[in-house]
Amino acid sequence: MYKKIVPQIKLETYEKEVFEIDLDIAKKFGKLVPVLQELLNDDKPLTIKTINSGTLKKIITWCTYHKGRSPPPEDDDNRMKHSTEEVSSWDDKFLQEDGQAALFDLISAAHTLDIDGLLDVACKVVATMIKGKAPEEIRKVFNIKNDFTQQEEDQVRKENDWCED
Amino acid sequence: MPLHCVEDRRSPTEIEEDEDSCPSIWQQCPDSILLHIFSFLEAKHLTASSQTCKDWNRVTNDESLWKYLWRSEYKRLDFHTPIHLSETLTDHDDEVLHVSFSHDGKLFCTTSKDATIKVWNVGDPTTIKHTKNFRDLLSWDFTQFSCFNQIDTLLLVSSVKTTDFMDRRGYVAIISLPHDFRIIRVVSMDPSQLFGSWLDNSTFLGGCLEISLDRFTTTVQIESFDVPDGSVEIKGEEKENLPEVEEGTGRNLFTFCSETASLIKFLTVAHIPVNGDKGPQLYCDKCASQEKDSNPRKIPKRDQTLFTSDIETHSVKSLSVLDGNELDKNESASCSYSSTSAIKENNSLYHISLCNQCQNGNVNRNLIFVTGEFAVALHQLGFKNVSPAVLDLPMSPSDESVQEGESHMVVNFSNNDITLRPIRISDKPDNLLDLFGHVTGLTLSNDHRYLFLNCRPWIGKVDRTDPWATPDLSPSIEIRVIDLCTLQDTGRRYQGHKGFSPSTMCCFVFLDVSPDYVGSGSEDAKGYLWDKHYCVNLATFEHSFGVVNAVGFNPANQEYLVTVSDDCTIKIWRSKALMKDFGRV
Repeated sequence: MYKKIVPQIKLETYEKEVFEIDLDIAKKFGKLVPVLQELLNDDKPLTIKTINSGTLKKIITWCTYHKGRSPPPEDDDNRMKHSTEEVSSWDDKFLQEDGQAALFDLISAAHTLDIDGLLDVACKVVATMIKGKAPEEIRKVFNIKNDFTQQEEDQVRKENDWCED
Repeated sequence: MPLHCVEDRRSPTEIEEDEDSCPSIWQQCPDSILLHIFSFLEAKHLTASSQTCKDWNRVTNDESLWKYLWRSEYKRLDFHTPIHLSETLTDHDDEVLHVSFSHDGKLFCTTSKDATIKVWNVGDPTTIKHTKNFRDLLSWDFTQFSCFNQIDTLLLVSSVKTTDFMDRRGYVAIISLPHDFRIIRVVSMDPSQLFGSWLDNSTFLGGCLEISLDRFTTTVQIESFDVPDGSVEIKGEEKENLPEVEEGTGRNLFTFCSETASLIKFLTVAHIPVNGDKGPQLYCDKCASQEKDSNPRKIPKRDQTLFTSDIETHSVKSLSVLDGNELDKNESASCSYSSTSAIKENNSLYHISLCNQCQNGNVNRNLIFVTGEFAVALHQLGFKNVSPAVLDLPMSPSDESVQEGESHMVVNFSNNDITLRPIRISDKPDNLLDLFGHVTGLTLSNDHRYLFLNCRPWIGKVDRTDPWATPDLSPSIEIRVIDLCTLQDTGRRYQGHKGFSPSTMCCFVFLDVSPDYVGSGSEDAKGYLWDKHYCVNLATFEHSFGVVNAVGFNPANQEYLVTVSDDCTIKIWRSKALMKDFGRV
């Protein structure tokens, strides 16, 4: 029996765990595209300290799921119409199921590796969490510490109250 | 961002472990990521985010985000606004009076003085799906108004007919769409300008008018009628099998008596969102502000009539003396009642049911109508909560709402006989809002939070002591916007359209709203379009003469708009974007 040879590259995570990733998935990582050939030839893994194993696993799952599903055309209009419907229920569940910290890591990693589709959809999920909320509610959702002084806060409110419904 | 930039940071999951002392991960987030997230927000979400913390404040003020918003805004106004005439439909033989869309945006229905209704398929081109001639079927003089139920299975058509005994009698016909547009119910409805309305998918509202000859009062009863599911049987190839015209078969919900012979018009049902908004909750203030427990309880009048026989102990203070802007927010409900302990008990029961309703659906069902307390010239908005208790009333509510032993002489409109009828106890609206003007049309925003109405303000001195006064009306119509959660006039105005008919004439100028636009008919042969946010007039829709009676936006696509006019035509207006799709540009 011949073992089917799938070209793979190796990535090492923050926890020093090494992942072997199929080439067609690695192609989605925009940042790695210029060095892919090099990585294929090299047996030594590329270390990416900012990404932990859990996040990389999720990225691989996401890319595998979306392999063959054509991404929505990302033109100006699409970017503008940022309704929640655009995030499929699979994506929504997948991105939110591990909590905010994991979602943040995922965004951060998608940003680092330059995975366009994942970055957009994950940011849309966060944007949806912001929409329709008052400042205090947004702070609560994202555990944001209010670092304004009372005076500053009054000033900022004044500058922004023109846009309320 | 190059890889090395982020390598110095600890892994985010570590930061997370000590949640309380550390600022949020989202606060420490690189600007580029925040910018990406914020690029999916609209202006109002950006300004809210801007107030959370210093970092977010700095990033939300980034020019790139705002440039983007302006570009999209320019594109909307130029490319996506329905201002291009694409079709003119000339199938009606007389003035076209009203247009209404199905909620799925696939159909619209027009009514006309030719007494037909025509139901159209939205498409390119727009085609006729069904036509029904009510002059042939029911001898109606003209069809006035139509509306689909929420699930687009039933169509309510209201009309006017001159009878031997009365000039303008109103009727409502219910048409079933799944049954090939068969008429399944016809009921009388007076006064005709109530138009009728859907309370829910299988219940519609109409009215019944009594004019008392000996007491010089008018009584309008608001009635509900059920259209049970599956009540229709298709009878083979039979011709249009008309149901009998029903008189007074509805369930009485409310009775409004007037000593000034004023009537009620524009019956509308609003499902007002209850929570999620700041500001006082007029209809269910206890849900919104539990801490205000010490306040006297405000209960709907209807419940009083249910639970007490002596309604005179309750003083009703009407809103009509207050200027719209002076409403004290803390005194949110404008009717204050002094209630007895017995009522309080019942009231708390009522409150529980209302709260359940709020929690389940987060809406409050309210009846909105135009009425007049002191004058024949209608000038007020009336609001009445439709509590579940009201609908549980027995079909024949005469025992409860009729005063013992008293009766009056009433004309029977169907045969002109004079009969002795018991006097009904009048309900009072929960709230009244004085408009100091004449309403020619009203509509609700899509979320039912705001009421948009066409109003022609009174001009000159108005003698409020003379119930028969018919004040002169300004030739300029203005669209006013009432916030239904606070019952305050928002101060927003859309202006430019005209009205010339005297107040004594029945003339309607209907309007419609979409997420971004407001449209209205006008009596200067034009329709008008405004930007909803900026309140500026964007375009007019030219017809050849007479009144543009109504405009309607396609609820599924606001870039498709219909105007109907006295010149017998229906005109379809599309945005440049839609025209381009059709290869017409």
